[in-house]
Amino acid sequence: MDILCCPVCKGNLELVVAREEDEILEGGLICHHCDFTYEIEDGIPNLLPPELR
Amino acid sequence: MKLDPELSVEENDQVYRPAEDSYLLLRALDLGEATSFLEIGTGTGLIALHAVRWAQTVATDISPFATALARGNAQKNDAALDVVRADLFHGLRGAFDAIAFNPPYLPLRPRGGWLDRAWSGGQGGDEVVLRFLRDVPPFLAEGGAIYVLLSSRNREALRTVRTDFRSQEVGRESLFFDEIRVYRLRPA
Repeated sequence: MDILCCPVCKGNLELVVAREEDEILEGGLICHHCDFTYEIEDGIPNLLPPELR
Repeated sequence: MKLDPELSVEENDQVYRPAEDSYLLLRALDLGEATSFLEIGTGTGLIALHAVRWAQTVATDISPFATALARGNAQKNDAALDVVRADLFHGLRGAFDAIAFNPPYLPLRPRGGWLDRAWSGGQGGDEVVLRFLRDVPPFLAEGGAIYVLLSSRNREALRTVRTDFRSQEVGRESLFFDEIRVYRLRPA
């Protein structure tokens, strides 16, 4: 978590955990400033900005 | 670092397969006292899986196929590798003792497709690596080093590593059409 930030505004992300087994497998990283959620799927956070998706 | 033949690294048709450039970068990489390592464009995860024994390692790729494969390879080898899908440094923060990148370096326009983006470096082959060189400095910890692979055709990037960094060539190999080199860079 401490190495991740919003790829657009570089602000802090709020972590939301949906499924966890030793590590976070499913969840989201919310940027409240940009009003966008970067999802975590299969343990991989996807920090591509919206325009690259 | 020496190639560890005991590591089990799966490959597939959607992800750049480790080739001469990957192995040249691996051999040139010297983590020394580094405790944190960032690999940009990890592909199969080959280099990051070697580094993870030395340092806390983060591996990124822009391709969803590469990040999935690298994470699978980490699990196969019981490696505590953090895999993140990202475009270069966007979405990352912090400072790393060593940063490595084997960029797309062929002078081709990406035509679409994730695998194509692993080798097509745009005009001059160095559009992606020039962005990397521009953005990398704040991510390097005090005393840290950057390892980057360039082709002899990447003229603008070759100029940039010489003018904007203290650079040292730490690996070189001739391929059919060009020569690839690994540079160790420190801030100027």
